[in-house]
Amino acid sequence: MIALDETTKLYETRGGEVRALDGISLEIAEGEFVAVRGPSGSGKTTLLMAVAGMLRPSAGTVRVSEQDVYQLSQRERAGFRARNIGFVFQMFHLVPYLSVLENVMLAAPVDERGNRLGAASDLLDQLGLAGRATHRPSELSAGEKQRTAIARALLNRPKIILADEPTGNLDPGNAETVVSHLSDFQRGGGTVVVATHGPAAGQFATRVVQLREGKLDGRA
Amino acid sequence: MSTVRMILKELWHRKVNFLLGVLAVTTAVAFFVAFQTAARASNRETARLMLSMGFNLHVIADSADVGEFLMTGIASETMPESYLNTLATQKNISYNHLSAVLEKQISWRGVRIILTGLAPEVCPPGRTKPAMIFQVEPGTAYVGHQLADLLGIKQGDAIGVNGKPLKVARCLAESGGIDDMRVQCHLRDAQEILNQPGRISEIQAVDCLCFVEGADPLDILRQEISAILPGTQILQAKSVADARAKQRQMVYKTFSLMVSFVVIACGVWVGVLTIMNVRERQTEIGLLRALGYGAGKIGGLFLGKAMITGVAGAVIGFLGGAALALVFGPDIFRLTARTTVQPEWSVFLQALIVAPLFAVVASFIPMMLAVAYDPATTLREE
Repeated sequence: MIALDETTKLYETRGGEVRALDGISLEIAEGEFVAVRGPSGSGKTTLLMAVAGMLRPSAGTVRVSEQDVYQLSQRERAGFRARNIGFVFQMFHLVPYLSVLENVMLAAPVDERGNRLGAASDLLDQLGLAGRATHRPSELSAGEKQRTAIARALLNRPKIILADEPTGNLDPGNAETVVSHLSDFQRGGGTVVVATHGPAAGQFATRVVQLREGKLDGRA
Repeated sequence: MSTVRMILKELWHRKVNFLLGVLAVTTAVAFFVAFQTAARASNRETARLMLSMGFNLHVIADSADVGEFLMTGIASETMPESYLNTLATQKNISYNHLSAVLEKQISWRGVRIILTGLAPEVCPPGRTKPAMIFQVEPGTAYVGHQLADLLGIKQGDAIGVNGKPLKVARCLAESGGIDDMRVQCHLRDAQEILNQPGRISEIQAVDCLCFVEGADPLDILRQEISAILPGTQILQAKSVADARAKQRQMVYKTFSLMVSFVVIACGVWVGVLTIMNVRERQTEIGLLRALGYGAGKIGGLFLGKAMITGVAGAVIGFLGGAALALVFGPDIFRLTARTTVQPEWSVFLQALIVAPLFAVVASFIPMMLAVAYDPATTLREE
């Protein structure tokens, strides 16, 4: 499902060159729930962005569903991402002037918006947000915001969900709820990759990958 | 969600940013409209003020003695009155405000006077403007100050000139010039008095070559009018023409400079607001890119917002600018205010087209920044 082969990402900074990813080779099979752990600056987010086709590696390849992501044009990559990958971020990244339902519908392709409205409402129902559909993000709790972000990530029925510290801003109760929703997705056949510090993801993960200074440190 | 709906929702959400943008465009448009309206009113006012210096273009008969005309201001020979109509029906010409005159020095009540017959002023097709000179009704006369004083003539008196009865419509205020010794009447009456039916001694006009550069306006006028009326001589009162041209050029340049400053300042203002808006929406842009939205859609969000800002600014700015011109114009342009300080609807159309383009241009660089944002960088920084 996901294959990184000798993937390296270099950043040029004033202090010199930084190796955010340093020759990483990693395979994640369909249906896995992988927790990527590591201290701040270890390359977790860079790894997710590279898998998502949003950060071209300096060297090596990234394949998703047998497709070398960076062989695609920028436009093709955007379409590939929209069809195959759902995102969940630590800071939720909800658009402040749209309602909960509209935020979820943002993920729908332009030509399928009419068909996806029912699916979006169902997702909100499943995630306990049916009564919040018309609310603005500023009117939601942190847990509700993250569940809205999960609904947005799930709307296109992606094959993969990439979650970057999805529980970083949540209390333990909400963190467990969010991770359990990701786990539900994985049990339904989806693949989940979560970059995390917290323990909640580890509880549901089928595999934990440790990153340190851009390198794989060990596997559990 | 459609781009327009997203734009409207964002406008409503960030009202202050939107209102400040509208205010910037409104200011630019209001100044532009006020200056345009004032500039046009100023041109009319200038034309009216120049009346006191007389017409600047004189067409006299080919046989008339130019030297005598220059010394006395009166052509020694006449030409057909139909010449006026010939000039007045031409298109694409460089003169306006045509008036036929028949005048002659005569002796009246033992005094040498100038009898001047004036035909109503006419304008060539499509160039109709308010008349520069007063219209003398048939059977009436305007008597110069010195003459009225000398002969004890008062407004309302009945006078006779060479047997032609005329009623004094007005005794003119002192001019300090030749007009003080003039009796002005309708052209028909003058033709009857002088026994010269269908004849005129001069066609007076104003040239429209204030903004010609690199060529002598008189050469252009002579070439134009000689082709239409071969049997005439064309003279231009250079000092009057120059004064008029310089006055109009000065007004044009002053207003152009002021409008340029205001437009540039407001353009920078709109640009800065858009940059602020782009920075504020950095993560939103990153998210949309992550969700697969293309540069066109994201650019459309900002340019669409600029368009709406521009249209709103154009409408409000026009109303504001027109109001400014209507309120302050009459105090500035005292002679012509009632007839000339009016909303310029053609400027409204210009504003409706130019203001949205102006806002789009001002927002273009920030929009390009927004489109160029690397979503990975933006989302990672968060």
